[in-house]
Amino acid sequence: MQKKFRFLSNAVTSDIAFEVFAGNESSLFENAGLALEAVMTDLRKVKGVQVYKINLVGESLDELLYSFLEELVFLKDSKKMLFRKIKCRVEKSKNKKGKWKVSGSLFGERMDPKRHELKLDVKAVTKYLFKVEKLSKESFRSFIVLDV
Amino acid sequence: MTFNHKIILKIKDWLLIVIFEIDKVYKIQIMDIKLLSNFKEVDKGIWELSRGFRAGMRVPLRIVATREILEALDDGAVEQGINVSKLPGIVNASFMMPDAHWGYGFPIGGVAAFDMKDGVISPGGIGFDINCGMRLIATNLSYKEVFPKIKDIVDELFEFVPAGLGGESKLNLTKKDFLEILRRGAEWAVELGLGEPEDLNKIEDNGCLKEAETEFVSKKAIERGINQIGTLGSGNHYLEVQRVENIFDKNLAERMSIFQKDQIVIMVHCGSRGFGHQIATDYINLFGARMKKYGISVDDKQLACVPVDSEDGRRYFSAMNCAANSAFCNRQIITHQIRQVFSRIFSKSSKDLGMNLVYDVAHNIAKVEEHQIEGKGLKNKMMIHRKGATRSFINQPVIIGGSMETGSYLLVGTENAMRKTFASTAHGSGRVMSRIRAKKEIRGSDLQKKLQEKGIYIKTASYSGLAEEAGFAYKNIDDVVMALSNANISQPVASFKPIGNIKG
Repeated sequence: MQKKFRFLSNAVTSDIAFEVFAGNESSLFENAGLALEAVMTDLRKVKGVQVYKINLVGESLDELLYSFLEELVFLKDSKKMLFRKIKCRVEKSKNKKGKWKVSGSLFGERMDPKRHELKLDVKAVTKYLFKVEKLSKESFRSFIVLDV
Repeated sequence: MTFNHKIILKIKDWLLIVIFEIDKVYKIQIMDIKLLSNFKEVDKGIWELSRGFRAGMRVPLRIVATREILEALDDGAVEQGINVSKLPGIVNASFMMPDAHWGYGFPIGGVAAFDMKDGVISPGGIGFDINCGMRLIATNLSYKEVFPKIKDIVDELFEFVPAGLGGESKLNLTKKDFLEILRRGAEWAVELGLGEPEDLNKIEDNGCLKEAETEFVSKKAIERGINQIGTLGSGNHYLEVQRVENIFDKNLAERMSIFQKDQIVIMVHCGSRGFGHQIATDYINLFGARMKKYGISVDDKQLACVPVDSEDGRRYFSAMNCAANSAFCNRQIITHQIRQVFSRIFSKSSKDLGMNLVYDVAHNIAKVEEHQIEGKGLKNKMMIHRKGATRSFINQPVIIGGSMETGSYLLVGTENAMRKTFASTAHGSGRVMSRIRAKKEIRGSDLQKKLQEKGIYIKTASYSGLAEEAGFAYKNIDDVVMALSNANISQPVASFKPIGNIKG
């Protein structure tokens, strides 16, 4: 199985940098979201008992991925939610030319220090070197730096 | 490929492995030799990369460092310092402190001053954790009195000061309360009895920045932060019980409530939590979209900025001040919790325990300050950005937190800092190893045991987070302080060694 994300040990000394790989845009969002959640907790200990629906639009694929990850950070603080499973549908908007949209479901539960291994608090998704690359028809890569 | 070529390539591989292993053990990170050769020591302990080094640089890059620190600096951090030198309206130089390291946007340990008319304001020059800062609390207790009880103290502090991811405020604030905190900072807490009135005199700007208007703060920011006042957070944030190791300037130390070796002090490192993080996020997004309108382009999207003298700029400055006030209040409430714990354990009031505030100072902030550039006319108001850098006004206490293993320092600001670095100095020891790599080197539980053997009792919200903060992941704080002293932008007053630590 292709590895979905990889944390990088030789980039940005103070924060967390990772690469995400996927075969299509939707999987790229799912994998990037899970990488962000994995910075905060051991995903195996989180149950997918609560579902949050998500609908976002963006001017570009990069911008949409950034907003999507920001939403996960927001839900971490405002609702104290951690997510173990993410299902996304990412597509170009039919109504608005050039825009992208994501709709999806986030499956997780409220943080519980007794059951969850709580790791780093992600403060924000940074725009430093942030990129989404389409390597081929069925291969996408993204580089993301989180402030922790 | 010939056999000889293959052998040469194999030897090259081995050499690379050897270099990597040496680097792992000794942490040698040598700046690219070509880049290094362009630096000249223009002032004692201040190295300059001239404006002509790279197209687009408006001012030189100046790094406060000893030669050893300069040579070991990340190329990534230097590149970020160069990017800052290209920003519109930057005055005099883009500065890096000796603890500088590779972050996002500005380097961490970066300082830049911008003209109030032609300059910009950039949230990436302040950081997501607005008014992340240090607070030092004195006591009249000695190491002998505290060490036997350190386990109880740390355990109780861990219970009463929420730490780590998900740490929730015990205050149950209404939105109205929270908005008051944003306007009034530490004052709000003191008025409620969560502190002494004299505490306010020992906080940068008395713990309240006046230009804080809540109308420029998003609903999202409030939702993220309302339940986090009085919490430490995670990453490199901590609460530490320390003993005085050395006193370098007896008179100054006494004025700062530090009287003798082995006196116990408490150090707190934290910021504005989710509220500040969201303010920065909101305005980086907004500024990214607005830069075109102002005719500004930047090398790194994280440096998104707008003119200081613009409605957008004023709104961000105001919202940033709200976040700074929330951080002052956060540290004030944590101080109250610390005083209560010590009071209970030693059965004395915090006043009887001499738990006075030494100082509270920000190291992620932008301030409007008046400065005079050496040899260039009158004093001018400027927008000073400090990201991982501490204000260093004459005779002002400067608190520099080191790693859990190497200890921390109290310094004093100097006149030279006013003249050379826009009254700025370092903020910590500065990372040399990424978090991911540090975690590969040691397990959190092993580090906890190792430190306990050294007489440092640690309680952590996250073992993996603890491993990331191991001493070997940081520069030696003594070297950083030596660089500051050599350049005379602050001078050491006292040093401290940890005996107990709560790691977020």
